Amino acid sequence: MRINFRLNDQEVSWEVHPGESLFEALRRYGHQEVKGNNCRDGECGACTVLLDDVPVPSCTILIGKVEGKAVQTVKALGDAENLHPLQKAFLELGAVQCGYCIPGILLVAKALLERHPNPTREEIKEELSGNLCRCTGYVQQIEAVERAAQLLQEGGRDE
Amino acid sequence: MLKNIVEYSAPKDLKEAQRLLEQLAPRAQVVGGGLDLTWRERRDVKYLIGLDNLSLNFLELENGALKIGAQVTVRQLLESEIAGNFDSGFLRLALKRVATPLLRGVITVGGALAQAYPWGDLPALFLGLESRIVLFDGQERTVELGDFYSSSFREVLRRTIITQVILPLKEDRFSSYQRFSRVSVDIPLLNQMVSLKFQKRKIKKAKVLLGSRPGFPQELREVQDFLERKDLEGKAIEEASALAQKTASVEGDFRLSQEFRKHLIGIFLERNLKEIKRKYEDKFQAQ
Repeated sequence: MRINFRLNDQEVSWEVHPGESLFEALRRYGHQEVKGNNCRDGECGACTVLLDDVPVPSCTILIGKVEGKAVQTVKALGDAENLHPLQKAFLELGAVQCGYCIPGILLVAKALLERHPNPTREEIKEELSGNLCRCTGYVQQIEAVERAAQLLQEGGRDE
Repeated sequence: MLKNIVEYSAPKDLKEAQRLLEQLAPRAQVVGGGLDLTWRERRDVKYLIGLDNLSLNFLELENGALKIGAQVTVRQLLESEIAGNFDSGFLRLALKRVATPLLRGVITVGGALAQAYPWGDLPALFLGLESRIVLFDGQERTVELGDFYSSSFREVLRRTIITQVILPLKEDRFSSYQRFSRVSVDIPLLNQMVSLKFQKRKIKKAKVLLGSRPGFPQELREVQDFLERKDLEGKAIEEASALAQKTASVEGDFRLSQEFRKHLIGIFLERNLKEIKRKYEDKFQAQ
């Protein structure tokens, strides 16, 4: 079947299997920035994308649900030439080790800061609780989200 | 990938969706959030019927009740102001304990109540809140959630779509919820929902639901009867907890032993009752 949706602000039209997940389709169409195929039931958060601005585990989303909606992967944040304040903050504070969980965490943080530009530490911890990281212990990541909130308020980049 | 799926339909009205479901039963399933299909890799289903175009994503306060469209996610419910004020903030506190923030964006209220997993949080919660559900099988009808679960509801759902859940607002109801899990974001291995209504400072009516037993939620009727007309104080709490432990029916499984589930029942009831007393005593003393 054919599915039409917006991916990182571009209209796309993909031929998909009706039983495919969003994660599987994204990877099949070359979006290797979407990590995953780990838990396959939405518990690790590695495959997180934004679906109509809501962070969801893409391995749990059937592709048919995506018709007409907007999907964002971590590429929607920025690139090496033009880093998003979140990406800057994560680099600045050493919040990245192997990097596998980072795309998912960045997107969750992006969605959080769009809803709550000045979240408390508890709100950040709560919101990130669905994304597992085996490397860092989470402290630097939480601090990086706080730092990004600060950068955004200082006018680091328009959202 | 669900290789068995041959078709994903996205009907634009409820009649068409129900007609498709009935026509393609028993190999068809409606897609709420879809989690039941993806994590279980259902091999018995061939046809999927999406509900996203049916305008079932609404939250309304009307005629003394909170009406929740079946496609509303737990996240949407949690973040809504309407739900935040429901039952003095109880609903929000309870929903914050369900799954992870990510999964709350996928789990729909209708889907969770339809699947009614024995380990689920929502069946016990919504039973305790005296919910009704609206069903569509060509015609619309409203049933008490408890009555629905007492029927052969899984068979009914082969041809029927849940369209909304109705939570009646009750100013005289005070609730508390406890759950035990291996980590905070995991499925509950035991959960308990307590709702009390008061009159002249005494418990007028009690609802005590025990879920994730690991079976379907059980109403602890003897405990409910015991609590009625009692003051919510030390001796009654202690005796109710002991009675709950004695009368509740639980099993063991590979996740948690029967003995430990039994042990938790009384502790949960004590905590729930004390929590209601601590948080709402000023309010129910005025009833």
